[in-house]
Amino acid sequence: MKPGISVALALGGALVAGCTQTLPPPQPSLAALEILRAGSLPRMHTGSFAPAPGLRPDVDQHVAIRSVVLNSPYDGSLSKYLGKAIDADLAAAGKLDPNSDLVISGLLTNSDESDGFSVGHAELSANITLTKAGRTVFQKDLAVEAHWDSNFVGAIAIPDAINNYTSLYDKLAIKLFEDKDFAAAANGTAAGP
Amino acid sequence: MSKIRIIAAPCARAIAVVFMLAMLPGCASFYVDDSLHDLTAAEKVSVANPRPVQLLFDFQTKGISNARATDQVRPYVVSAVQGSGLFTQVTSEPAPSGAVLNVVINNVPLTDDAFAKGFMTGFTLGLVGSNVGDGYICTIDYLPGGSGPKITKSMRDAIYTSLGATAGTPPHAQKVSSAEAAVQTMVRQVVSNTLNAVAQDKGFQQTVAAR
Repeated sequence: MKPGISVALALGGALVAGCTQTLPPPQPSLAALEILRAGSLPRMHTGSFAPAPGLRPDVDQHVAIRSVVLNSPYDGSLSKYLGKAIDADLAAAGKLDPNSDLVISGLLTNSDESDGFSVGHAELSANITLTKAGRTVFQKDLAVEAHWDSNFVGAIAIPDAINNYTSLYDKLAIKLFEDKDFAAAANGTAAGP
Repeated sequence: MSKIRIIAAPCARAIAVVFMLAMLPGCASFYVDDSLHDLTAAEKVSVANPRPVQLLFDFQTKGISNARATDQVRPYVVSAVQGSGLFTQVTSEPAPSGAVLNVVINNVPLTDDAFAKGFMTGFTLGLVGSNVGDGYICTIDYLPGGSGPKITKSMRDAIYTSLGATAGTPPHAQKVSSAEAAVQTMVRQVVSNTLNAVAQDKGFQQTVAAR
């Protein structure tokens, strides 16, 4: 039995059989909250998050982890899930303001998971834009990845892969909040991209 | 994408079936480690001026966020924090004071060969019993808001599962009625005890003007 089986059994969350699963809503993290507070960023909100031009539609629609297909609760779009992950952190830090003229938008450029008999790997990347009153003040490609010890046995490997893949959304949000160019653009102290 | 999906999927399903056989009612018993207990009223720290707090929660598996478990365990954590009496309101939105309570429960393996044990019990239809344990490390950070320093406390708990006919009773553990009861009990006890340790900290006492 793998670690966490008590929780999995109690909550019906065993993730071993082939099926389609919808990601739960993204949750804010303490790491993001502390960065947002310390960085004295102004309030902002998210705008459009969509797949980048040329991206295969299925990359935005789902990610396959062995026999499990993961999809997004937001119109079946993983790019929109990224936007919601950023939203969740902004809201938790008190930095979300739907009326702000600072708007974060994004184009999903990659979402992938692969695991072999012993090593797992997942990556997520997006082109993020910040506009102020409609003018682009920041634009950058951001990418995050995860590596972990995988297992031949799906009962162990699948939950680990799902957790590592899902954690990338918060990692990408944190990478954005930590970006000095982003902070400078948001605070109006940068010339723009 | 999944490079070994075709090979692994039938294997995963077969193992899932074995697991489920081992987990049929009557085949598995659940225990919560008795190193922690439900706090009595006298043991609970009380505060003179409780304030609202923003609650963040993350359930992790081997240190990695487990979004689905986080979603499902959250109500138990909220209940435990509300039951502490240390806060007037527990909310997911920022509290007026800026106070934040970050609760992390990290599920770690207690027995390296836990998977093999469970497999053997299932494979022999319960004739070969085994006990396996899940460890849970609860870490609570309290950020008082303003310039106050962060307070961090951590405690451990465990859930044991006895599988099969010949499995013994784990020592130092209380039996509970189901897997769900085990999770509820573990979360309630480890969160309330860790939170009580946070409340005993001098820094916390100063922020809420404890009596």
